[in-house]
Amino acid sequence: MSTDKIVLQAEDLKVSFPVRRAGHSTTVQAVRGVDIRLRAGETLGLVGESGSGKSTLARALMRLIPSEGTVKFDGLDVSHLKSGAFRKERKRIQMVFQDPYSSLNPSLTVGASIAEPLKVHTKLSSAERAQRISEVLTLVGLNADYADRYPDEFSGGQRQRIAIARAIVLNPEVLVCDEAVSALDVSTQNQVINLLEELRDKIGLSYLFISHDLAVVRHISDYVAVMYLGEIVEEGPVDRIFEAAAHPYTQVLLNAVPVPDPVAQRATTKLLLRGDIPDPTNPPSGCAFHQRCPFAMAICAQTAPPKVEIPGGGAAKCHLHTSGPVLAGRPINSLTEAEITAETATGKDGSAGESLAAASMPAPSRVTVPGRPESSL
Amino acid sequence: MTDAKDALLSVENLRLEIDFNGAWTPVVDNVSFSVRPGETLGLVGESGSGKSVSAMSLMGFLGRQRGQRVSGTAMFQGRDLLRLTDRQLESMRGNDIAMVFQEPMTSLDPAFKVGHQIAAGIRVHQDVTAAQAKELAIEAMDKVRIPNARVRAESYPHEFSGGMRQRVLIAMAIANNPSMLIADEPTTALDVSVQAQILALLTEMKEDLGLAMIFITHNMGVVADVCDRLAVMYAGQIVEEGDVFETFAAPQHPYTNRLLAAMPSITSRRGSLEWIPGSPPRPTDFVTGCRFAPRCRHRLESCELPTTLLEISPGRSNRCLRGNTWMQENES
Repeated sequence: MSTDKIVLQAEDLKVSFPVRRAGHSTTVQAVRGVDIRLRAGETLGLVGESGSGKSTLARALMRLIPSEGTVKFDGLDVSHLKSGAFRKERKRIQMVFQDPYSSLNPSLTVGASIAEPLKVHTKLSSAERAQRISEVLTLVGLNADYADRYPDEFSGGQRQRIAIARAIVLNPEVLVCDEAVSALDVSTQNQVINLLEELRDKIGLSYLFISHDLAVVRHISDYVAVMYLGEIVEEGPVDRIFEAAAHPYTQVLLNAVPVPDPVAQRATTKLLLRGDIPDPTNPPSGCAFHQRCPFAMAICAQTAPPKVEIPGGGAAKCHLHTSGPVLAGRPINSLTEAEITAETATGKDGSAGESLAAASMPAPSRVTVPGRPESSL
Repeated sequence: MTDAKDALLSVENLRLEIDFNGAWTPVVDNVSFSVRPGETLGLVGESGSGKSVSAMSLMGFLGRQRGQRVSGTAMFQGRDLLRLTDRQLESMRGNDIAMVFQEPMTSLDPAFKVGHQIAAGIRVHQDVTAAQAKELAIEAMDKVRIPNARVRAESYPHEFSGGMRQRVLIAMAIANNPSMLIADEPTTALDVSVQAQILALLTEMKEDLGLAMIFITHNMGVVADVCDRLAVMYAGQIVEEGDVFETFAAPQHPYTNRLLAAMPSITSRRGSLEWIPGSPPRPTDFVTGCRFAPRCRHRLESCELPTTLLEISPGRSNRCLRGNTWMQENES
């Protein structure tokens, strides 16, 4: 399915906004040097909490907002194209937004909404447009007759299908889905996700799938990037990220998702984050996550961690993988409590006791249930 | 429908009707449940299932205006909430029963310091001076682990993050020592890491203060985390009620079963995601028989008969006319 062709790529992408804080103007770096690559036929999941810069990154990729760095569509650098030249390229990438109630013009029929991109980007006659509109409506699982109706006659799920039909009408290579299923009930959400997967196979779309819902991201993505405070702190193949997360932030995020199984959910040792996402106008020194990290070491406050490759694919920006203590040859945050207990009890590794003592991190930071974890503030 | 005698709140046949162009339409239909002290009941369902509307009718926010009518009983500490005067209800709301809503942004007044807002709620219900109320407000902020409560009491809502604002609302809710808390999607607008903090806090409050809680949510993971029992709502009715562990292990109603099967999993990957054909009916389209039947793969002709929520074992009820016989059918 996926090939080596890279349909969307960003190199060292930066976005900053001017803001006013307490009377004086300053800038906030919303995206701080991001590299991404989306292969043809692949889904890149982009996760992170509100304020992490996911949506800003998507907007910058589509040149909806100004940015620094390079953006390539299908190998072509579009970052410096003049707006006229860029308009020809823009149709390669289309976007689907979160709210299907506000993304469709209520005074236009469904057909007229879908026709707009065709009018802007093609020279099709009105008969040809009508033909294409009924094609895409069928493709998204709707009745071709719906073209004559108005958005208010449709449910949230159907509206999202209409939004997808409009997004694919120009045959784009990439669809950027910004929280595209977040406002929907689970059954409707699943139908839309199944539709996206079907379209991927049928017309060879690639997705940049932005979501805060990690279970959905696990389902749909091939590759996942985790953003924190404007940076990608970890990336990798989906199974590696979900089964062996290497960055403490990814680990906390995954741990925070409640599992719909009371036995498993209550047996989980909860890792609670301290505090809130820092003020982006004044990001912390060193690693942006160090103040909230359960494994923080002295170096984390001083130096920004380099990007290191992680076994199993992808990379993480975390000092634990270069300067941190190791146990049985692995960074301590990659071990389970059982493994730590086993290693330290048997003393298989001569340096184990020593390096664990030097770290002295996982034990106090991992709070044990029953009862409840200490709320860590 | 558990034993009503040791219940703190016992709701029987709650019905809310709304006048849609001259036709009285039941939006909430014969809803019965009870909550014991220290217990958390999850009220779950998709949007439009009637979960928030049920809670709003209990609290008198719905059903008292023109074009709406409410019936049934809701016994709370020996009094029927549905028959209290507006004034009696006002003295109970925020005092014996408190509420926390989804939107921490809109539930606070942006023009007042949070300490002042919490104190104002205290002075409505307690005979204390402004200075004492302020101290109680700071105490409540401390209880919900707002760091530096004394200083933060002087901050305005916009100076707090979403998670901290939700803590402020919980502080406001517990400031008058209520015996019951109704939490309506309190973590839905929050990020997962913040949601985990707030869920841990609510569970702790429940344990420390012996609070009974009605937890309204659409998220089955949240139910699995915090609830002792759950009532699943569909089209204005409870279709299944029971202990959380038992219900998740063996759902008795096909709707609960489909809903649980549809949850995408974070621990494993499946082929394609499950979904339920069709969409929930609008109140004006409610049928007399099983309301889920049009979407149910186990539907029989007999499913057109009127349904009742039947107790199938102590503390467990099911509305499916087929009982659990549908389980033997091939899941395909």
